[in-house]
Amino acid sequence: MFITLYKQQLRWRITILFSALILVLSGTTLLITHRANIANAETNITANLSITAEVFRQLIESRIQSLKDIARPATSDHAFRQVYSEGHIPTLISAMKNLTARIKNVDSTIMVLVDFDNNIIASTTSLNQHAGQSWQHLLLNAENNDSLEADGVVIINKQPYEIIVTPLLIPDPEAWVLMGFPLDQEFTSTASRITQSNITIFSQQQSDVDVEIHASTFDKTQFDDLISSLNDYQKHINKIWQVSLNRSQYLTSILPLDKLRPLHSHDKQSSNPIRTSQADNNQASIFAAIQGSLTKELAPYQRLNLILAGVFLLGGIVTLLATGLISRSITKPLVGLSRGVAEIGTGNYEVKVTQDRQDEIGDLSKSINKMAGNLKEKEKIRQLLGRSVSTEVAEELLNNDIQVAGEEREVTVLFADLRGFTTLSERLSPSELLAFLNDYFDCLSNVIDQFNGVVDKYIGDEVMAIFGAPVHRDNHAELAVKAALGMQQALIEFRVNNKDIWTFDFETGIGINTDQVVVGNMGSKSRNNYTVIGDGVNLASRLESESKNHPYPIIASQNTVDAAPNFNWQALGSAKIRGKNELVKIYGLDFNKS
Amino acid sequence: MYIHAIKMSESKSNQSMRLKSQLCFLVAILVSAHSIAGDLKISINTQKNQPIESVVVTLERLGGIQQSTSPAPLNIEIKQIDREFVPAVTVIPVGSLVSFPNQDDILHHVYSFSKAKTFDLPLYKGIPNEPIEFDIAGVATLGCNIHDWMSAYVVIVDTPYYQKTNQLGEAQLTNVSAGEYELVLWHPRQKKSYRETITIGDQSTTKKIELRLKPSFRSKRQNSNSNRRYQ
Repeated sequence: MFITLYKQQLRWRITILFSALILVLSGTTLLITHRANIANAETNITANLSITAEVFRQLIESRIQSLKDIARPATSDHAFRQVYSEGHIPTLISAMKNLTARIKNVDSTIMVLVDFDNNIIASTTSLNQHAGQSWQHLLLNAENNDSLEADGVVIINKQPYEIIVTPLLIPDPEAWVLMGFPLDQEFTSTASRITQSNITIFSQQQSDVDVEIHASTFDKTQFDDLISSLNDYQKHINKIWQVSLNRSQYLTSILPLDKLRPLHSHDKQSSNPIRTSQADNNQASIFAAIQGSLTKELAPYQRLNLILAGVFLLGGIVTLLATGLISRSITKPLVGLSRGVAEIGTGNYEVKVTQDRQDEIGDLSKSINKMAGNLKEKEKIRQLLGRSVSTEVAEELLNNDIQVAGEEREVTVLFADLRGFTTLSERLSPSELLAFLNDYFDCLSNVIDQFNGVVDKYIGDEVMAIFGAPVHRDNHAELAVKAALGMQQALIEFRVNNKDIWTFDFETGIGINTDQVVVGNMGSKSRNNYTVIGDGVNLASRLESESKNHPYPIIASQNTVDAAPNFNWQALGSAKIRGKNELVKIYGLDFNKS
Repeated sequence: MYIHAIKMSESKSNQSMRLKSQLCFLVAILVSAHSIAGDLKISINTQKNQPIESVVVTLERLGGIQQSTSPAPLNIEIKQIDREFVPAVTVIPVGSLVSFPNQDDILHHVYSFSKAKTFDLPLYKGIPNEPIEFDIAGVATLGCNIHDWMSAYVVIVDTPYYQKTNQLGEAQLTNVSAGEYELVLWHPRQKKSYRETITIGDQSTTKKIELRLKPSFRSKRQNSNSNRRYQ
């Protein structure tokens, strides 16, 4: 149905094609916009993640600095030294708690004092017996630094802590002071509030399959998805990768927390003692996952896409309607024109296709009307031609299939003359004479047509006919002879049929000659007609005159007899023909005996 | 770690010093008339053959032989000049009195929390009223409560044979009674304690020792281009 409509109706074809074009263009635009928006959002988030990582570092650095600002003066505080030297542990712990309370906004700061063999002297928090192993590498690192300080992330009591190590100076180093803050929910929330990104602190023991999440700004219900996505973190360190959490897409960046700060440049012991010592201690690797929501970033773009889609849909509908209307304005007059042309095709040249338009369709309708007029004119000419030549010849002439330029050709020329015309014209009134001549010529012309001859002209009571031109016939001589016989026969019937009207008797003499003549259109540019000229024509006319001297109504030349020998020709000897120096052999044909 | 090592050596030497001084006293009474003496020339360098200054060199008598003479206590000064202790390393016999004159025009607060000697000289200017008696062998680390970078070491020995290397890293112990000794070296930056058994005869003994030092740590000093006082 649809395909049929498409194939048969231009209107539908135009509408469908234009709508499809608009659809493809709109779709392509939407797709390009969508992709550009996603690329843009990814670029923004990537840039934001980079900034977030830096802010995250700065936040940790800032808190580390706060710890150092408290720890450093404490390590050279006279009272603190004295308490340490006295060795009164409850007082020492109390002094340490007093110091940790000085850290603003961080309630969970811990402080531990260990000797150079990493034995815990005092701690503000309860620690298990293996706690010292977790920061052993930091002590080694501090020992190898000129500043005798170090910091890093370690897991204490299953909680990651950012720890600083500084020596207790009396005035030489006597012990290690450790201060640290937990990378806990409070920290990730603070970092997230500043950076506007989701932050998760996780670690993985070498022996474990799953990562362990210590703190995250994601809801705990999302932890399973978060863990399974972060399990792949090793493939994506130093890369941005996309993970799906609870139907939202997040771009994720992994920040190794134990690589946050480069080692001091003057450390000569190892290029990376932290990593080495961690490996020795089978220390868990600790990371921060910084995640920016692609879905959130794309939200404004999604709204834009929806608006664009709406605009395109509206545009599509408008295009559909407009195309429909435009195509209808084209096809509707075309239907009218088509009907008009079909009518003209049936031969009704009177039909007018009227389109009051100034455009191409208006021009087309004018052209069709003009064409109908021309066809009407041509038909009129054809009908007029048909009166002097056979319909067949007339058709061929109108179709321009016939060369009418001048050429020499062999044809057979026939002259038929009404004998006793002078007497007849005296007996009949002019109107009667004209009526008789019309009937008489009509009779002869029908026979000439019948044998494919062309009435060249009527000259008074005489008719001149040509056979073999303009349409070539091989047997033009035979056709002419048959036409002559047919004329005589027709005239007998004419006399019988009209004996009540035309009571007088009359005879018709016929001269036939076959010869090379010049055929073609002759006359002025504005007025010309197709005819033949040459001696052969004159001879035919003379032969017709010669028939008066013989008992045969049909006289032919030697050429005609040679060309059409299968008739009962009677040689009449040679005759002196006017205009000819030599005698001409002539032959008579009695139609009653042929 | 060297602080710990120092502490270890302090406690060991304290015990042995006491025991040895008692033994030496008995031996001196028995064999005082027949002493043969020799010299010990010692040269101390780093691994890179750089001389080490201010290494305290002591000889502690071994083998139950009586100490020839008890070390005579001294009265010495450790000054504060231009916000530094001068000298930075001092070696004294047990029972010596040390005064801490402040020659700067600002106050200092000299202290020690060391087990060898704990004392506190709160803010003062000029010469404190009483000198401090260092009556236990060991090492006392001194500091100033006002200036973190100021530190000094008082090595208290219980032997008459002690010396401190000069700028060339050399020290000479003369007139040492022949016998078996433990050669003990101490330096604030030494990596580990150095003890070696050595026999002194009537000849001069020369010894060249390579001592491994660790990097110096010192609190940053105000208006100072260098933190390092020791090699």
